[in-house]
Amino acid sequence: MRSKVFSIDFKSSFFIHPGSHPPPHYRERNLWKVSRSCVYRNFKLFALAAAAVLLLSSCGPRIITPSPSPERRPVPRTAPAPIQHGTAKPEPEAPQPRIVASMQLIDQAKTLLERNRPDAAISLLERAVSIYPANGLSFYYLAEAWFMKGNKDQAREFNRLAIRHFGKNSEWSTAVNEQKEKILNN
Amino acid sequence: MKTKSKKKARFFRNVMLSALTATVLVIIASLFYCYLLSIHIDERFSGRRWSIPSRVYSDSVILYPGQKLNQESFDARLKRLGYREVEDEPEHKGELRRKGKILEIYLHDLKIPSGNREGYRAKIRFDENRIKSIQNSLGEPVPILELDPEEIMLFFGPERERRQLVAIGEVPPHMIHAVLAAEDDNFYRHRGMDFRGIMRALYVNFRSLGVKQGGSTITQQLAKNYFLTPERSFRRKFKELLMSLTIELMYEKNEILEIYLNEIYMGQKGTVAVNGLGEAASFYFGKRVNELSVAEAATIAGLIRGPNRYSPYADALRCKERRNAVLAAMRNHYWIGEAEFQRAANAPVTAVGYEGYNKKAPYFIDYLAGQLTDLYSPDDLSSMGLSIHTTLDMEVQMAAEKALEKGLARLENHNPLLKRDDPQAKLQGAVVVMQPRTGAILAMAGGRDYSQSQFNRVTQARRQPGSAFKPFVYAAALDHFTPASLLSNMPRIYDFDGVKWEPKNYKEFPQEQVTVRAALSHSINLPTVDLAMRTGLTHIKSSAMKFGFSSLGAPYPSMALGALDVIPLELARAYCPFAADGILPYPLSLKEVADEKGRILQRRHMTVTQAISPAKAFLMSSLLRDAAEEGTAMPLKQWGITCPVGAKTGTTNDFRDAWFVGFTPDILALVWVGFDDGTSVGASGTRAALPIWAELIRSLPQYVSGDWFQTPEGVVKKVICSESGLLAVRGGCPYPVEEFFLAENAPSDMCPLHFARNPMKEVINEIKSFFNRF
Repeated sequence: MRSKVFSIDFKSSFFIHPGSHPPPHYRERNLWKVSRSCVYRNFKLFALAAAAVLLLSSCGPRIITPSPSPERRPVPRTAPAPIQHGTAKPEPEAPQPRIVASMQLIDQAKTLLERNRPDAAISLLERAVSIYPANGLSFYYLAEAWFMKGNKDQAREFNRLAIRHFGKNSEWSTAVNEQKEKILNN
Repeated sequence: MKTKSKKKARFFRNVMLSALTATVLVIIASLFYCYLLSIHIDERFSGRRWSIPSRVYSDSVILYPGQKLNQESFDARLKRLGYREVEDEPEHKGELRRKGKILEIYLHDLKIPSGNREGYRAKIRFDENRIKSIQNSLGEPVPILELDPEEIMLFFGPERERRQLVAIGEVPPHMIHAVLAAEDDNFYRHRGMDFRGIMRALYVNFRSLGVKQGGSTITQQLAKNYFLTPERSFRRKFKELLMSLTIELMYEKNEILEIYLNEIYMGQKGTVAVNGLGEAASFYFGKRVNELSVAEAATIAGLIRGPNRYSPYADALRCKERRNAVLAAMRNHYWIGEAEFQRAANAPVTAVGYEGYNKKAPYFIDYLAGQLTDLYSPDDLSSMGLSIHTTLDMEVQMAAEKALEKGLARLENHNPLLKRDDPQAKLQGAVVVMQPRTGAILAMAGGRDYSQSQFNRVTQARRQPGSAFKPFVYAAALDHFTPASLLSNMPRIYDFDGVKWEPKNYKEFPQEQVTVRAALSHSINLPTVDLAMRTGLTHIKSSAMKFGFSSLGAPYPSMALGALDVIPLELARAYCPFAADGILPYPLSLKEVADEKGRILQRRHMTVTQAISPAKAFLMSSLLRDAAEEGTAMPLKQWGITCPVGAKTGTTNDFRDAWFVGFTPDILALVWVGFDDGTSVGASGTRAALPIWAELIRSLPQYVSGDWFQTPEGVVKKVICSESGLLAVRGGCPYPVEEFFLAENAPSDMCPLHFARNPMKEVINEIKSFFNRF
């Protein structure tokens, strides 16, 4: 019964055809690539032998055998490695310069907000968003500017984005939550 | 005798009286005529003196250290902005010098609605297509540098004139002196007519037996240009004289000079007249009037007599001779010294150069004009001198146009059947590029050649999106399905309202079941229809409408495969939430409209609504990234796109439409390829549209950061069995994969297919059963 189930599973597994290799994305994602050796196919016959081998191997020094094929390299079973979707990132740009540039614009926008010029501030904050879209501060101050303009709908949308970017553990989370309350209560 | 003398005396008295009466009457008539003229002059001068065409500008560009850029496009941008290369250190605004990997630039003054900035010297250091550092003249780091926006077009009136107004206070003395030396050196002393000038002109003309010099004063020229026809008649000359005297009585000298300097015809830029000193300074030297050198001022002043004859673009030698004649006149009046004269007279005549009037971003301008005409009448646009600031990035626009033309030509070369002799029937394409968060439209190419077809395929076409619509089906299903859910890939006939429909896969996929992730990334039709039917078509339609589609028609099963009409711009916008935490931005093209004095009249801001939750948006971006890395958009890598990208292809029945939509967190672009009449393109979205997208994005390194989206709250990552879609049994499932789930519908059950095959567990069970025998 077990062998029958196994046989069906094996053939119906997506993209795995008899005699073919798994597609690349499965190869890359396979975290615990256990070779389908005869140990599986003749499980009952080898069960005791396997137990003995396992027990003995746990007593000996640990040897990591290099994989003959890099695509089927076994991954340690203890902690799954973070998945890499497809190929590795090609030298992602260090975010620092973008953050610095966007912070510069945000600082200018803050000054404009202090001078009660929300429209001019929004223009600068939009530039900050286009330079570095993941900077939560841009959204926080956009919410402030729209609130100053009396548009609570837009203030709420941008506050939501600020919350999303700051997360729970940020030093800004208190400020964005207070901003949320302010928008809701006014 | 006495009687005779009396008669004579009476006759003489009568004659005298008649003459006196006639003179008085002429004087009264002249005065009355002058009064009438003064009313006419006042009417013209007190209102708007000129029709100034409104100018449309691209967005300004921000540079910062660490930014990647396409050096070639950047250089071209500087040239379009009128920066001229010099050999020495830049001393004037608008000059630049290259020294290896360093660019020294003296920036123009920046005048944009969001604020003005004085031009300053900056040093930009490059390092392999990246800005390494930016410093000011003191060596201090500059965190951001804003380049001026580019002029895209002018809303001309019937007169087709370019003019930049200058106030007399902005005009430097040497420029005024040059004009006076060239045209009317006695201007500040005469009262509209200069007898000395007329005598001198008569003498010069008599000596040379021809018309070498005119005797018209600046005021007379103004009267002639501004009010009168160019006919040569005594009546016109008399009218001109009276008018100039009247003008002199009514206005101060400086006011007259200011009007004159803004009025005079200074040359021709293609089919458009260049008028006034401000425009001439920009057209010939790429400078503002107050930045002109003495030599340049004399060149411009020399042009007044014959703008096209003495133009540096027409004949540099003749231009130089004329310039030096003006310089000599300036020296003779002691307005410049001998040393200055020598320096200026020996300077070469170097004009900045100009681009002819090829229409820039014509489809975008049409789209923009549609919005502007709701705000302003065509007359206002051609006369009020508005500054219209847009979201367009000319670098992106040019890259989009180039990639589209190249891609379509390549398709035609590969398949000659696609070639058409009739230019109206040619293979067409459309590209729109947006910033997914702000909704700013960076580029729009609504067709292959605007001169052949003005139909904007980005904003006016309604085409079937095919598989490019599938993401909206999957997004609607995410409440009940996960990326690991299994869908049926079995052929099935659907009966909907009595109509039978049997969808088919584009190519064969032998599996009976596929996961949601694989179905979308490989764009498999049967599981998509299965998902749509299980989700509910009405729900899919209502969910898709949240992505900003104006209409989607009645919900039919074929909707799942994109058998409905959409406007490409709406489709591009609808993809934005996948690239922007679920927010749907309003597509922005117009940013600000300012009047001549820089006061903001209209302003458009980025406005957003939430189309889907950030968690669902993240899941969708993850699914679409798979399409780029392992699915239908995999050839992106062959085209040099190695950064993380979310993408979807689309191909409609009989290859009528080929689509490609791709995005990163920074940029989103849609490409459509097809024939206007629906003839088959003979190629899929992957083959026809993908290469255009790839070439476009590859040429825009400044918009490709290489970043990807951070996992938001509400999304969890689990290791699942790729066969069952449930939690993987460690050591049991042969192909465990990590998968993202919404926290509320993440799987909690272990994989039943491999649960019993946990070898350790089975060994323990075997040992237990072995011992149980005893």
